[in-house]
Amino acid sequence: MKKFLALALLALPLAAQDGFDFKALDKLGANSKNRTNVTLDGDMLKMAAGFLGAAGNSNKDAADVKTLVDSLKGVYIRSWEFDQKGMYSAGDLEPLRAYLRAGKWNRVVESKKDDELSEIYLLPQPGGKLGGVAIVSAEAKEVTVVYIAGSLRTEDIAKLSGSMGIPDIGSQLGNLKKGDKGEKGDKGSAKTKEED
Amino acid sequence: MNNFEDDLKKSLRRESPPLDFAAKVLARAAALDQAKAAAQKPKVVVRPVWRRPAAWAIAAGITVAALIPVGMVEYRHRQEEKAMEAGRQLALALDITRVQLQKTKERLQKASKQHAL
Repeated sequence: MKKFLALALLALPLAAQDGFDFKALDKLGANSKNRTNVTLDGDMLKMAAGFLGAAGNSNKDAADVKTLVDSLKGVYIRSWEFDQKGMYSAGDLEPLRAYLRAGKWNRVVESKKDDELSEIYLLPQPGGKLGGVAIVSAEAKEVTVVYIAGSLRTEDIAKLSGSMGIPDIGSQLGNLKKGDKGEKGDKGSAKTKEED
Repeated sequence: MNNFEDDLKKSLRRESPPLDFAAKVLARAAALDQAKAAAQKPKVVVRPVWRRPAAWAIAAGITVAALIPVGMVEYRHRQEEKAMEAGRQLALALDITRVQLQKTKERLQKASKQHAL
């Protein structure tokens, strides 16, 4: 009985956790020069979608993004830049890769050459749809993880890769400049840029 | 014996009331009525405005009515700011995603070219 209770207690956090816990990647950024975190889920994602659909955004790209975002559950970005080579360990990415391997995710792209690694994982769902996309990109001085959860179509991935006019949307959202990165650091929904 | 009879007759003889007797009785009765009425009439206490609950209720109602629109405007403003920030973050996220997908594409193209050679 005690063993059962202990197992149940151990399983509780796993059951409560919906998706990957990005805290597991915190080690990666320990020596980073710049750090960019984006966490958009729940209400924040709805707000962002609502903002795109607000009056004045008649642009077709904005409408496409809104349609896409409406079906998403969460968008998580973690990106770290380092001053020099060898300031992070590739093993620190292992928790995410292990999570993706253990689940129903399929690695559809793997490109590795010298210090560069690119991996794309898709979560297949019935009816030819996708339940998410994850990108792991590592270079000598930069590591980026993109994790998008929610209902997607394969065409959406193609749109995300370039045909969608992201810069136009950025300008509609108040002339987003590169320098805006890391303005805020709110819990849960923050993008941060830190000089370590 | 005669004296006794005389005294008795004198005591029992009928005397006329004074001329103002009726007026005095009526006046006394009226005074008693007035006193009784005064005793029954409730006292009217005039309180200052700030001690009247109704005045406080009206003042509170007016204050709330005045604050509601202000609160609504402030709430809407905050929601718009939040939505704008969420929109900025979404644009940043999509931008990073696009860059990473393009990088992967370029790496694959480079690799396939080298493989072809």
